Formats: sequence, structure tokens, C-alpha cells
Amino acid sequence: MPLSVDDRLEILELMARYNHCADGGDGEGFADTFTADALFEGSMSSARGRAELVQVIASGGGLWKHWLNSPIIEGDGDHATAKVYLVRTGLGEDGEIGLVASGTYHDTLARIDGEWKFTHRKVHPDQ
Amino acid sequence: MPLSCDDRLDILEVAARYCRALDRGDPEGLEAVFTEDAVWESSARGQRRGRAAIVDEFRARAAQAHTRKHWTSNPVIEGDGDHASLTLDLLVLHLDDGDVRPGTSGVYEDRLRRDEAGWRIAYRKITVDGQRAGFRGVPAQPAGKDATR
Repeated sequence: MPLSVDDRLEILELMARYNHCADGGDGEGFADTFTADALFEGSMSSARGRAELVQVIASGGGLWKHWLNSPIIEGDGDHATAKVYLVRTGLGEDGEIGLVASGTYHDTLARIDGEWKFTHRKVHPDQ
Repeated sequence: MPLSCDDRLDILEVAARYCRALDRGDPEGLEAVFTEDAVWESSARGQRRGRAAIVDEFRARAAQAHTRKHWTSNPVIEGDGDHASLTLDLLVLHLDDGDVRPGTSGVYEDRLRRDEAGWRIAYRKITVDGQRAGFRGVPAQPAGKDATR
């Protein structure tokens, strides 16, 4: 069964929650966006499973923001893939905002107990 | 009743209309996105109570029209029936001197209400990054291998 509009909106909102948690320092909330045995491959670190995923955020510091654009979501039934552009900004001590990095997320998602989650999220940095 | 897809898309469009009205210096457009009793509260500029006071605040900034672009991302919408909340990140791009650069960033925390005029903002709180409790400034690093999480 093709993805519904509801599915697409839920997946977009999952991406938004990931960003709010990552930028807000909420490691538990960040891990909630993944399945229990999910694999995360960032440019700094990799993490598999909830205990490691929580640490990805706990070990991060400072104030960043993730900005997404141009999402492409494809899928069928309880499985989906997504690609979405990413820009990250950082706020300096001088109050100036800088563009820190850009890249693309390549995601694999599954619906578990009625909720969409990442099973694999990999960052492809442009730099 | 849970929010429908239509509700969610309508709410996103209200948020987009706010940005466009600000960036184009369009007070009527701004008026259309707020309820009459709306409250607007900014960590940088204080509180305005009522739609008329909110529109006056932006009329005073009309000179900024076409020099800013309000760029939003990461919407999270929750709600039920005729009430909803929206959390949305904001980046203000400054378009001065033929150049574009990131200016302020922050987060909108909104409450919206639906009546016969559709979904509108009843409360909008803007917290500018760097003015929230617990903020630790970090240098904006140059792009590098450790820069994307």
C-alpha cells in the first residue's frame, strides 16, 4: 500500500522532532526518533541502539540548529526511505550566526506499533 | 477530534503567511493571521496584547521590509479539535547591501485557534537564541569534517 498523506506528514514531523531534540540537548527524545536497534552514522560518530544514541546528544555541546529542505519520501506499507537536505548553523559567543555545515540525510524508516521511526540515518556531508 | 492533514497544512500556511507579511511589509497580511485577542511575546521586544498592538509593532518596522527573510524549519504540530500548538525554528536572513547572511535565529512557540475565519495564531512566543536560560555560546566553526551531526 503506497504511503498516505498522513504517513508523509508524520515522517516530516519525525525529522523535525529529531532536530528539536538534537539542538535542545535532549538525548532521550533524540533516541525516541529511532527504533531500538537503529544505526546512526553521523560525520563525527556512529551509534547503534538506544544507549549509544542517547550519548550522541549528551556528548554534544553548544548551540546548533539543523535546518531541512527539499525532502523526498518514498515507500510502501510500513517501510520508507527519505533524502533531505541539511544545513547547520551555530551561534558564536559574539552573537553572530554562522553557516557551519551542509549535507544530505539518507534515511530508512519503519512503522513500529503505529509510529514511524528511523531504522538507519546516515549523514552525507558536503564538506 | 485529532487534527487532520488539512488542519496541519493550514497551520503551516498560517505560519508561512506571517513570514511573508513581515518580509513584504504587509500589515493587512499580518492582521489576517492573528485572532483579535492574540498575544505576541518576544524575548527581545517584550509583549504586545491584541491584534492591533501587534500590527502596530510591525508597522513601526516597515523600513525593514524587503531587507529580511524569515526562514522557518522543523515544525511540530500538536492539537485536537479547534486548538493546536506549533513549535517552529526561525532563522532571519539579512539581505542588506546586496548580500545575504544569517542574522538572528530563534524558536516560535505558538497556540492556534480555529473559528469561522479558519486557523489563526492566538499566542506567539519568540525566544531568540542566546537569550534563553542555559545558553552557552559556541564559536561558529568553519565547515569541517566534525561539523555535521
